[in-house]
Amino acid sequence: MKIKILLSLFLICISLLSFKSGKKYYLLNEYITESSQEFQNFHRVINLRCANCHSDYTFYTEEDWIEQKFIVPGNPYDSKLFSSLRSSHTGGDEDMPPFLALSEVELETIKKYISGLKSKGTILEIDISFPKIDFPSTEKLSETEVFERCFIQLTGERIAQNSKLFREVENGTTTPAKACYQILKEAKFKNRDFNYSNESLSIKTRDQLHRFHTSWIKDYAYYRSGSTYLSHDIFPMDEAALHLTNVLWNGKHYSELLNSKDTLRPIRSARSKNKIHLFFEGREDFNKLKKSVLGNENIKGKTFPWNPKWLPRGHLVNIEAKKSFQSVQYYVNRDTNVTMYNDGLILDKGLHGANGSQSYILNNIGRDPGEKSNGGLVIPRTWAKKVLQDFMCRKLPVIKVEDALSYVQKNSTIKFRAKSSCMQCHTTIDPMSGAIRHSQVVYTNTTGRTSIHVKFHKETMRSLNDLFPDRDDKFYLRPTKGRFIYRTIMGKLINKEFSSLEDLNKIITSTDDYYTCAASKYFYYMTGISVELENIKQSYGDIDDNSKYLIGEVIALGKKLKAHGDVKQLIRDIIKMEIYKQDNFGDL
Amino acid sequence: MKRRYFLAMAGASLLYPFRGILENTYRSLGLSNDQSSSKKYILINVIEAPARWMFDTILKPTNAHGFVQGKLIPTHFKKTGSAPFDFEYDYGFHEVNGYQFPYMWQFDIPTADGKTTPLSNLAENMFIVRGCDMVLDGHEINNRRLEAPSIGSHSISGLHDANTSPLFGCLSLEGAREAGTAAQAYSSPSTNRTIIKDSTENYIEYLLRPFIERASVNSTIVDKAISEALTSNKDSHIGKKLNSNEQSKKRAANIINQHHQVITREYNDNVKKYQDLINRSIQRTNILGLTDKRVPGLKFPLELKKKFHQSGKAFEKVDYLGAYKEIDYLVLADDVRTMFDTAEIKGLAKQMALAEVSLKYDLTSSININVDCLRNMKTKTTKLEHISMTHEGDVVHFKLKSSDVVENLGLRHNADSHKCGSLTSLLCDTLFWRAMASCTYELTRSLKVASTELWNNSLIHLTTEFEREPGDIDKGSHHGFTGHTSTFLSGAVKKTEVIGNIYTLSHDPTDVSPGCGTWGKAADVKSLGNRKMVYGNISSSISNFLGCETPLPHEKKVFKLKNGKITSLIEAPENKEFMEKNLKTEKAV
Amino acid sequence: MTYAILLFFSITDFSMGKSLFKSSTRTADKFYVYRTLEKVFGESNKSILVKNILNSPELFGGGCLPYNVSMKSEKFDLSDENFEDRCFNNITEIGSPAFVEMSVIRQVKTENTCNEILKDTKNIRHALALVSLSESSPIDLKSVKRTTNLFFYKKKQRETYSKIIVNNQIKTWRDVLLVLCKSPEWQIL
Repeated sequence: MKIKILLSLFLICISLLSFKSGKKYYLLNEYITESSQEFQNFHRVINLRCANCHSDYTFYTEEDWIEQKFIVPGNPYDSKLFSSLRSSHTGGDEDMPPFLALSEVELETIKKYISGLKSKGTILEIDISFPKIDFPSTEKLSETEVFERCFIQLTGERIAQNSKLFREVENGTTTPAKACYQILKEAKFKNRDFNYSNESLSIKTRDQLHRFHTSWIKDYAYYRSGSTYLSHDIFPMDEAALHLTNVLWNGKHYSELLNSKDTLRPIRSARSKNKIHLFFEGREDFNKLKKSVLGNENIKGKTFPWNPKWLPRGHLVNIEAKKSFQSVQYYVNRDTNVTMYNDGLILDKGLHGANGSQSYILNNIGRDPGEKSNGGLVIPRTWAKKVLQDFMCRKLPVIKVEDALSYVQKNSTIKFRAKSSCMQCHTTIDPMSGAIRHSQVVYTNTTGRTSIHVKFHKETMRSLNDLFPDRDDKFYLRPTKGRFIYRTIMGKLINKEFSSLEDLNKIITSTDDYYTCAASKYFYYMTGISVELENIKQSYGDIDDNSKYLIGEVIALGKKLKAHGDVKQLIRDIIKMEIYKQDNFGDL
Repeated sequence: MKRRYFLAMAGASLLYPFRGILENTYRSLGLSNDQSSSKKYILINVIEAPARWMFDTILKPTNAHGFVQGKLIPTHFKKTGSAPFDFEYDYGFHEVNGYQFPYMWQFDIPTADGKTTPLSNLAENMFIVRGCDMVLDGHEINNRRLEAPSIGSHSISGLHDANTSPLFGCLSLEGAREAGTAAQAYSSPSTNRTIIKDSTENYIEYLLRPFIERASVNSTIVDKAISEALTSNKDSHIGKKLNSNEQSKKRAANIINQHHQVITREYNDNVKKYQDLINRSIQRTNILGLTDKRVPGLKFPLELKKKFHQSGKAFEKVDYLGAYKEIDYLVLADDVRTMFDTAEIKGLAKQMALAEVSLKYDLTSSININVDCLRNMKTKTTKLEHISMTHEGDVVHFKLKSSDVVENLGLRHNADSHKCGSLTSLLCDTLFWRAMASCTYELTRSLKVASTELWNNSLIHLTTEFEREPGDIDKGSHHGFTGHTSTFLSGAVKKTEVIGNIYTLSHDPTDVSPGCGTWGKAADVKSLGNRKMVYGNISSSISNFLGCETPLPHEKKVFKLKNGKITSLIEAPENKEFMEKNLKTEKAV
Repeated sequence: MTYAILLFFSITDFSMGKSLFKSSTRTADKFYVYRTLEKVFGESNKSILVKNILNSPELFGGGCLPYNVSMKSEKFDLSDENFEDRCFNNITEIGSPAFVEMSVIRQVKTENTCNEILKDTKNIRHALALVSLSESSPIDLKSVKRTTNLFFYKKKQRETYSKIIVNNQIKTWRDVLLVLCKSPEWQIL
């Protein structure tokens, strides 16, 4: 008996000691007790009907059920436990138990118990705090070392140690962060005011960071590379990266990345004339490219000569709003089963912002040429997923399964719309893709060595109120409405309607997450540390202290970026961070 | 509770905090199931998607399965006459290990010892997954998805490399085509692929040269100093990585320097070996029903009976003569078989040779091979535009516009045979797959001989972007992206198996030619919730074999590795009836 | 009691929590490596550096800026304007990572580049001249420290390598430069 008591005490002590630190949560009102009859009845059903497979459920307290997010107090329909039960009629998975459904009495017992929890007024709150890390002073670099480091990262070469700026850092007149900030300021487009650098260094700096931007928006896998032979020479393949570069070097607020109304025109300065298309495979292909045509070469008399204007070459010296565009009369929907159109196509105009540029849409639309969105299976949901990835740094799903329950379409012919686990992703990306529903990928000719563009259909039909139609053949002609359903990193649910891509982008750029993402990207570039962003309100208790620290830092950087909007200042703020000054970036 | 029982439980529970140590001990004693570090993945992607219905798209698994013979889906000639167009196609079967394989499986393939072996021997360790809907059309996008099924995410080989930390990251053997390939979709959290371009003279030399060059410079004192410097920084995580690299470098250098002559010699011998297999598979073959009799090419002047399309529209020149087309050219050879006397598959011998030595000497964990089609088929030819066509009543006359329009050219067979006729495609694709079968057989044999463990841990994935749909008339076939076949070979496959469901006959109006016959279009799979198999199901299965993360975790596996054996997780293959509700309304993502 | 023990297993956990970050080695990209070696050893080594360094973005990191390049023909030419910005493998290289991990192959390639460059004494002289030294200068701590500055910006590394070079009694400037050039640490920021 004594041994039993001692062992129990020992186990309890170990449990308390191993309890995860930093995790504080409390119930706003009185604790629920397990002595209630409702809980007893509920527990009996669980034991009898679930514990054979889910043995841990037997030991769950009321608190565990709530904390594990299986139960939403007072709301059985939003509770994952209830919605997964067969015949619960909640629109959930409804596939448990796997072989035999609960009886009506058993279902009612569970439902009653969950509903009854509301009256006890239970609310769980999690207190989020971001710890700080004290880095050892022995690993701290000197001011000149920090400056050399940031100079290399920003320009791709070492600074001369007899240069004016190096000496200013050396003698303490300026700090590394300010010095590198100075280099950035002098690298902006059309700058003539060189105190510490020169045109050549500015070009290197702009190129260095443009390469980072092209690696950030990293998917250039055009649908068919053959059809990009001319595309790359008519509109830039790195358009989205150009938007990033434009924001950085033309002093725009970071929100302009998505809020810009302009299609961008890169101004380049080459001393020598370029004679080669950007994309070529061999001499044979190149010779064929010399004579460009429009139209359908499968039908006699249906090709027309064409002389597209090529993009300029040389170092990027400025980025401007594009004022005039190339257009053609004829184009085709694809290169087999061809339909030819003659209502005109503008070749190089985007919609709105980086995510609305021709090349970003093409690279990420995930649809075949000629396809028109129909609201069901055929919508540009890959684009929506990539927007979340590239500009919010979020991987699907970005909402909780409970958020998706009310959007589950039990009677849908589209299988993934009927399951809550699938809808956890599709609830976000499907309505979001409505912003570019009017996009259709088309070719200028059927030769297979052609150019590929996005046609934006005009709105000619009225809007329908169905967020998730199974199939609507006029979907692409309706207003580009949709809904943005998204949970932020801090756990806040956004559920807003938008009427256009411009509108959607305004919603995105109003979130903190948009800026936190930018901060994490530049932070990664400067330190090599990539911070994964997810709903930390949900997972806070599970993540380690170093992660909490880093997330806290990028959130703080993001908040500052949102306020001032200047990416150069963001970079400066990163250089100022203690972790940046450490020899091995803190050795985390 | 009895005291003894209680004390035993309590004692066991006290060990709980030390489970980490126990796990490590277990692993170090080799008792762990974690063997992903020894797994090898070889993706052999035949680009441009040649037809596979004569090779490994199993259209009728057993005699009990429905099958409708398509007039433009042949495996051989039922008869060949002495004049152009005097031939008849047939689709034949041959039983292999309980399955009805296509006609060519009854024949032998060349082996490395100069002899032959029944092709059916290749099927012993073959696991065929048919009836996969690729959803999206297009070569490049589907090539990429074979390696990286989720756009923007890490790829299969990339995730595998991250798990295994090989000496060389995935060997990307680009082949003749350097754009839009599976290899280019490689993306790994920690490793980079090793690109070997087709223009590289000697692949193994290119790979090993840095180590050999390094060894040729006597720099003991320099290396010692560098090692000492790195050791002084060994406690930081960067220091640990660099020191670990130093160890790996020394180990690799030792192995390579000790064995590079052997490895290089073996590679060079392998190149010859595989080249010989390719040549013997394609050139001067004598395959019954295919190349055993003269196959006359086009000859002008030519007279044919007037024909019309179903719509009532008259046939055009290309419609009449399409069977003999290779893109823009018509084959005029007196005997089409002679085209193959000079045919080659560029780069394949080097690719297979490198794959073999890399696996045997553990130089890499994954290999990505992009295979080109048949080239340099020398023949008499002319372009369609040089033929005149005139009508006289019910007869259509064709003749050459002038005598100097006939050329002797080395044609390239466009595996993406939109503009290649059924006759040229039948011969080219059959002989091509024969060569692939022969090379793959040799690779599997070499791995088996090298080590049973290596063979059991290797997964060869022979595939294309998708199958082909025949056209409605004979002037080309089209993308059958709603039907893809992936064939796997491994020691973990203990018996021939075919899985996946297809339609016997599809009437989907969005098909290129609905009702054209059984060609391999994906049908619903009950075990997947009555929906079509998609490539994510295949990629999840591959990742399971390799023991790495899957790029598409929400897609169920269709096979898995269990107790060293690949087992199917779905029902036996079915040929299903097409129903109205199966209309391909549009494509799902 | 058994249940209590099992409960203990299920609710307690000795793990430290999951990690939401990944630390990669922040290496310099191919442009930095190329420019550093070109600066230290001279422009005459351009072709060696293009062949070994610029041509291998998958090993050294750093994408390409194809619009910077003006090409005269489809064959690559060193005289093309901004040739360093060319996409060496294929056009999708534009999305290559800005930096990549330090791999064994990268190290081996760097070592071979250094070996090849330092076969030529002209290159040794070029490097030494940058720090006001010559081949006849004594290999002592002070001189060696100056040469470490050609590669390392961190004082700790300069001191470590200086001491090690002197303590190992390295006798030639070639070997001194080989130690510095071949070390992977100067490519790590």
